[in-house]
Amino acid sequence: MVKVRLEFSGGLDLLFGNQKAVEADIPQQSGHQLTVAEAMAWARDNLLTDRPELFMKGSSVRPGVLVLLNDTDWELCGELDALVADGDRVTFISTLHGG
Amino acid sequence: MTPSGLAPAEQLRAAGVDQNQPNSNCRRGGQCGEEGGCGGGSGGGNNAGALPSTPSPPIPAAGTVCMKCRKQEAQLVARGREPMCFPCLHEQLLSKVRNAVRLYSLLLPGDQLALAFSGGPASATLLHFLAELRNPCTDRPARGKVAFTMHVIHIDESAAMACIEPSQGSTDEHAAAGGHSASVAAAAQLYCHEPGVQYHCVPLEAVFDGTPEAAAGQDAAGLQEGQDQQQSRELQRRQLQHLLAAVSDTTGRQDLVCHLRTHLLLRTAAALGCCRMARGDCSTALAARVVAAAAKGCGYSLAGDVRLVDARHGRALPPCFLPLREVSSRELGMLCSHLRLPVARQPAGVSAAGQRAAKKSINSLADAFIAGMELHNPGSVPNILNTIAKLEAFPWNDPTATRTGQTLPQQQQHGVQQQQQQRQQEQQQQQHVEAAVLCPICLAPLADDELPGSDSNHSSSNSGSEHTSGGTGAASAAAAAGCCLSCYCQILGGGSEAVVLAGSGVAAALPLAVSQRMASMAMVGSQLVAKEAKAAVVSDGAEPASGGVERLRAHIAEFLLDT
Amino acid sequence: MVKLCGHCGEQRAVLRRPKTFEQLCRECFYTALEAEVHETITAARLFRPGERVAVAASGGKDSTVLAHMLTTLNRRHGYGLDLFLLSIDEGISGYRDDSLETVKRNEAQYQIPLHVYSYKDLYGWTMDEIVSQIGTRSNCTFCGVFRRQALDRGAALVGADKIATGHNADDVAETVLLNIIRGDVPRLGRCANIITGEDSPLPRVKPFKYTYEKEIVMYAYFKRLDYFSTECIYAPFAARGFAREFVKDLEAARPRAIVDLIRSAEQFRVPGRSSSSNSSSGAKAVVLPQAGSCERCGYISSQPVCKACMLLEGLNKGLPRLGVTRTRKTHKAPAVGGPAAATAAQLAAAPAAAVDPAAADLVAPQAAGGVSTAAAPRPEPGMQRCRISSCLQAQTGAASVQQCGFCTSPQQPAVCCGSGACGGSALGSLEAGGAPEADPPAADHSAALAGPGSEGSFAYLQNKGAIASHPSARHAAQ
Repeated sequence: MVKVRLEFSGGLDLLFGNQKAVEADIPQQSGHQLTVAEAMAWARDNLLTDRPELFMKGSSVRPGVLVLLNDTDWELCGELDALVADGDRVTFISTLHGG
Repeated sequence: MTPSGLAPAEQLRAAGVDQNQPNSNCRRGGQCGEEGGCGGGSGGGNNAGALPSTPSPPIPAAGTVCMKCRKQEAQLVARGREPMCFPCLHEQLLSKVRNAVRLYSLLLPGDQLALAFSGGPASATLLHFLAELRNPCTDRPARGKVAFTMHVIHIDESAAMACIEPSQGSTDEHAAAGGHSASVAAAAQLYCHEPGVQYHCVPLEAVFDGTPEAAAGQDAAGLQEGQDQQQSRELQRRQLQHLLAAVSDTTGRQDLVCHLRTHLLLRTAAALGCCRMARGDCSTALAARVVAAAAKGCGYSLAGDVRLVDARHGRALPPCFLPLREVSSRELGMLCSHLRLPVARQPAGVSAAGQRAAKKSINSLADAFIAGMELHNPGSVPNILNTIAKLEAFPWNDPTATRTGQTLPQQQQHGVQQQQQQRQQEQQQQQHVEAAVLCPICLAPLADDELPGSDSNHSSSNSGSEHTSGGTGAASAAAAAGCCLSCYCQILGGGSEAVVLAGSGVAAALPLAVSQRMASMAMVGSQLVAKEAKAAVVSDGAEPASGGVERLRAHIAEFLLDT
Repeated sequence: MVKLCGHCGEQRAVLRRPKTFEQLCRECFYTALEAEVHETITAARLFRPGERVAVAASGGKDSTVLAHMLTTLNRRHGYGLDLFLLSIDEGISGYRDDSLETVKRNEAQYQIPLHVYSYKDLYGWTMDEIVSQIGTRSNCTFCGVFRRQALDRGAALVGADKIATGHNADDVAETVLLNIIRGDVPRLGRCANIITGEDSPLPRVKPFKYTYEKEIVMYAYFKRLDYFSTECIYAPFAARGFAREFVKDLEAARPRAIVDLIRSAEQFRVPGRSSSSNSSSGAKAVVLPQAGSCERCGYISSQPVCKACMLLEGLNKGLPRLGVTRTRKTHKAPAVGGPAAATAAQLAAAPAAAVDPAAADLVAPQAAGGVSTAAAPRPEPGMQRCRISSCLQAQTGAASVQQCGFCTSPQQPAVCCGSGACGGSALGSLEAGGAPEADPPAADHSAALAGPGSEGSFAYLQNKGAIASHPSARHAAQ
């Protein structure tokens, strides 16, 4: 189990039961480190209350949702394959709303 | 009945020709050679789970009568609202082609017409229609038909297929691709055994040939190929693959294959003596191309790509016309199925793993977008094309520009000699058609800021284009390289750090004709800049004439005509 | 593996810029983004010293960051601007309150004065009051018309010289696409202009025209800027949502596709646009017909009395239908039902901030607020209600060509454009996620999105029995 803090903003909190942050224990496959892709899938399957298509498209995040790993753009960390360790923070920010 | 004793349909099936699977989502109506990324919805289109069940194409309610003939029962719904029977659909589409040909005298007796043939539904339909319009007997006029000869040209892209998707089972892909060209040949055979219709298969690597005649003379499957020819073909294949491998951007690679195909088609047509080329681009494909072009920054040039006539090369190469541009891929698919026209099975597409690994191309995204739009808002495709049609066309889109003054159907009654005279007159007249300044790679007309030497013309700094051209000076860099901004970025890899470091291997690997042209453009640019600099020193303060761009174009056009 | 900033080489890189792929640390990112916006402003000469600039503020990400950025740059580079925030309150309780709170906080944070104008101030009625008076049938009509004028009126009341809106590159790219799909060529020629309504007394500028949405969001995130985000509602089958999805997919495939779309719009050979001018401040395009002004309120109008005044007259006289519909045959809007609160919820759920940084010619990006063009609106000889969404759509003299009363795009008869600009009732429920009862309207509406050129819709034909569609129908040819 990996302790991860999942944060949601930009309207995504509404899809996750109005929670802006969740301390989650995500199970990981033995002998295999947890990736962002797996953490996302877990969040979708266990925390999402409404409209999964607004969060994920296929196996990745919906285009328009930014993902940060410890406040760093996930594009710098390997995107879906970035590794998530104990105590890490994964932030999802939706840009798909008015301004 | 064919000599083998099998019914034509059976024979074709044996040859791997699929008659009942129109690929109605295919962008070019079947002329794509790229990774079968046109998933039409699966390839990155709208996969949002909340989509309601997608409305299926409507079928007429039982008992509805065809709105055209009012006799037969309607079998399909065309354009979203017109219930029709197949014979009427056939007649409607055929009339479109016939009327366009007649109105603009696109085909005259004695003409040699080239047909760009991919084997897909659009090509097959176009071949069928043109065969219907063709009068096989040159000495006896037939009503409503024209006695022209036709050269059906297919470009074999099997050498390029390996590069488009190198990692996935390459041997299988190769085999499939090789089989593809055989099935295309088989598909065309239905019409090509007639006198006056010839089939040519030219391998894409022939674009590296020195002379057009050599290219036209090749027959990839011909038994006459000597050892030397085989070796040089092998060399060319490697050249092609090396070139494509040097392009790092997926979309850029796909587009480069398309551009090379166009180059080769035109050269082959010219070498065969054709005065016109017909292309089967359908409305769906054109709409997707428009959207993709907009997303590549080609807003200036795309207005010229969707018109009936495209004579951008002036005298140098035959003008093209697009008789199916108002017909949707769906209609073509239906017609093909109904007429049981032989359609070549498309080469194998991208495997699932490949799809995830590779970034999607702009082209496949545009295809999927159009397919989705059309499904949910029928009429989107005509809308898009109408919008673009309202943009200003280029002088070389004018269908009457390639003809002398009065061209009327009555003229077809006159003797062949007079027609030939008319053709000669027309060729002379084309000298006066404004020569367009085109990108040597993609053949798109260059926008003002892409013209070589345009920085000399800039009075006010155009920072808008600085931003949109990806940083300072990218447009000028493109002009200095001798091509358009879009090719510079996606094919040459300009403006991207990675490739600046690697050096531009692409430019060096391009076919000689193309790179020579680019060098000429670059040279013009530097000459003009030098001239302006001198002029500015001499005179006190250059006045930035707004007519400056027009003059610049004229200069460049003149220069290029002379070289 | 920690990557270092590509610019300063000292700090850890936190972001990869979409246009240039540079990897930057926080500070260098701020510098780069601010420099880019400054460059945009100066090169396009958006402002003159001493101007009073109203920053259209909805409390959303774009307007918050815009306010922050302009304040910062104004101070740093000495633009000499008199900045203030302008916000519009429709008077919908439970919805606008939160975003207004955000804007009030912005006022404190950026130290620039805030002016809030409510529908009550401008027209004498709040939306809640209008709904209680006329019910939920044509409330959208009122809201749309009022919203369109509100920013302009508010800005004029405060004595602004310009309005700055937060439209970003993604918005502009999406609009370009929509205008291609909708067939609106004049708009296509103008939509990528960085200044619109140059000749009008209140031009609108888009300092963020080349700024990517991703960077605006990241800027706000790292700087902990306070903004209010409304629920993201993009019904995938609405044209606008579809285009939005496509733009995002494009961005993922090739980030520069967004600025390339903008470049394309700048380069389109629009008739009447000088072909030798590529400038981003854009064309003195097609000269629009001179419009007069309303004799009651002075707002631009081709009629003696403008739409808003007509509607107001009706409200005040207790004749809610006045100005709403003039045709004899009024098609009933599909039943939406629900109390006023539900309607308010629908409006809330309708895409995004009702007062977006509303821009002249954008086809209501993300917002249900069809804010008008500062340039002269098209002539409105008569209004007819869309039989699908019950929003207004105008009729021109010619029988065949009609125009949506909100986005003025040409449309087929009797059906509106479906842009949602009007917040039409059926569309409202559609965008809210498609309640079951919205299915028939959904089908109708998606058919109604067929553009000009098709003379009917699937729904129409279905009703006529001319076509039938079953999910399992095989292709007719087979």
